[in-house]
Amino acid sequence: MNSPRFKPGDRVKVLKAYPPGHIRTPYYIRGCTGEIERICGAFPNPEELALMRTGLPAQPLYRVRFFQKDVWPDYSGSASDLVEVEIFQHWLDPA
Amino acid sequence: MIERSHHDMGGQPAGDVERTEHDYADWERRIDAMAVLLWGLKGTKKLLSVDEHRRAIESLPPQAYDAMTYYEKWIFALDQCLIARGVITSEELARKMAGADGPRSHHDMGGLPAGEVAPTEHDYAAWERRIDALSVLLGKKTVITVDERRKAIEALPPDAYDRMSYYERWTAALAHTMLQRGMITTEELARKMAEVQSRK
Repeated sequence: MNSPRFKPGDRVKVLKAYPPGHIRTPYYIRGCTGEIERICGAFPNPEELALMRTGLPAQPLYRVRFFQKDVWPDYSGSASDLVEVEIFQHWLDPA
Repeated sequence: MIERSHHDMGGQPAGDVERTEHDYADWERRIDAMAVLLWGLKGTKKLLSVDEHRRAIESLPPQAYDAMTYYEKWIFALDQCLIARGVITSEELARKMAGADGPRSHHDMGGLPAGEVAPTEHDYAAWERRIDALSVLLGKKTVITVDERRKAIEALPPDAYDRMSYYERWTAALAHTMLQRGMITTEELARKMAEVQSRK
């Protein structure tokens, strides 16, 4: 597996890209900045699995925590509201 | 070319959420059990990956995606996966299904009303000539065959198909086919596209 580049508490920015393919990073979260909540393990890359390949080496998967107000431009709820999304390492950069 | 996949609906307005549960029909339980066994979870025999199956579900044309129930999508996607794996062929499936009505592919427009045809010619831009030459040469060298290119063009979602110009479709098809063939990875393409996008 690829070694984890991030640890809980690290600030990360989700890659803002729109390639074709079997992307597991939701559209709405691309380009947003958040914080690593936990490492969920490592799994074969689904983008490759979907094309009948092995997806190896396994990619670390993280649960990343974002403030709702940083995700939605017109968010009217509490400033402390969170959304957590599981994102593979190759979609994250240090923020 | 920013494109949201049709299934990727998070954050989109969608009205009230239907919260009622329904009991599953026998065929739904059956297809669920069968697909999960084919995925090979928990050490069972593996024929395809969950991600191949999901990708096929998410590649259904938007209209079909919306019209089908959850497990109808599983079945339609399963046969696409079995064709991709070479377990069955398109022809075999077509022969078995002969006589039944089926959906029309978006590109397959023959006979549909389309308004006036504007018979004007335009000169080709340099990039259009280049992508044509490149694609045809790759076809001759069987790096990317004509049919792979056409298949990728015809698999574009209807709105993208209609919005793109002729050679924009060829370019999109090249990217799809390079991914399919493993010449480039989705990650590499994502990173390059983000880099190009950020150039001033």
